[in-house]
Amino acid sequence: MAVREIITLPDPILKQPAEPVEEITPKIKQLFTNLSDTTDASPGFALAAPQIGVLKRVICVDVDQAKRDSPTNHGKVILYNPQVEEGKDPVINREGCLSIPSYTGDVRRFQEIEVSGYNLEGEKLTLNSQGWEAVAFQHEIDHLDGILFLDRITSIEDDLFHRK
Amino acid sequence: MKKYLINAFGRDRPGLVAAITRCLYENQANLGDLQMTRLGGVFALLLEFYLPPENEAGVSSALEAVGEHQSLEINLVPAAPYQSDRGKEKPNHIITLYGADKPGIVYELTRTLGQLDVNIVNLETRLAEEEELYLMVLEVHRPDELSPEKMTEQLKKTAGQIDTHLEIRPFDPPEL
Ligand SMILES: [Zn+2]
Repeated sequence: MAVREIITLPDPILKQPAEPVEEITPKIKQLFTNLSDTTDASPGFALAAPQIGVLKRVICVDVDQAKRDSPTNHGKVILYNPQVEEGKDPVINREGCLSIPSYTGDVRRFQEIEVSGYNLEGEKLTLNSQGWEAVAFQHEIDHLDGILFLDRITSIEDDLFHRK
Repeated sequence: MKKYLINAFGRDRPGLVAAITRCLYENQANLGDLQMTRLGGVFALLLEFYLPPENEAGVSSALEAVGEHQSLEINLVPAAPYQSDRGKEKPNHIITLYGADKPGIVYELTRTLGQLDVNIVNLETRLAEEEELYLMVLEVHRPDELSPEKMTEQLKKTAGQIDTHLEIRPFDPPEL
């Protein structure tokens, strides 16, 4: 059990791109565990390694912890080198970030994605993910590129109102 | 540091926010929340800021000069009389309402909200003139004593009486 502190803005580490995982070392195994434990202990349901101060491309998503309905639920998924292969049905939803606790914002995300990545056995997984689970994957993969929801905020105005 | 509020209106053009915030910056003010929008084509601004109280006179006269020079209507007030615990309530529902435009839509809906003790945190409305469609989006705080079911029932009833369509969703953004 190793719960790490969740890093918050304006820590510059959150704006740096993370490095791909090249091989499964004991350190990477430890990172999987720490990310999993920290997600369990957090009020959220997903985390990316940079949020606990490690610039490696590893994420954890666990919709079971989300207390909200998601059309797909793969339980706890921890992946390295994850990628969104395909996405459709972009929808605007309000989301927050554990690394930016005071704010929430409206962000356009695909409601359905094919997401791929590797587990600790080095096997490539490809999942069809929808709803909040899909939103979480996109949010966490953004963290690996140093992108925060603040960088993607969409105005409700543009979508709902005719701007005069 | 003492908290103050400003509202301002004027003929819209570039440079107005800068003209106002310059007065504040030069008097060592610390800005809090700011909202600026174009309301029916008119520049409209709301702003909170913190200031060493001894600088109040300086800000006040600087704003007056800017107001005169830029043809802006600017009001400056201390925030203290308007602070309250209810003003700290966070939204827990989003309401959208739309329908054919007619008098009384905003009044009827907000009257029902008031009767239910539901507090409005944010409210925006628009009239889409071509379609004559009136649209409202509200973020509201429902008190614990009121069940979501009862609130939904009452609001939908009101919306029905004014021939509008109302949807209400929980406002509960995930932290990721
Ligand atoms: Zn985040």
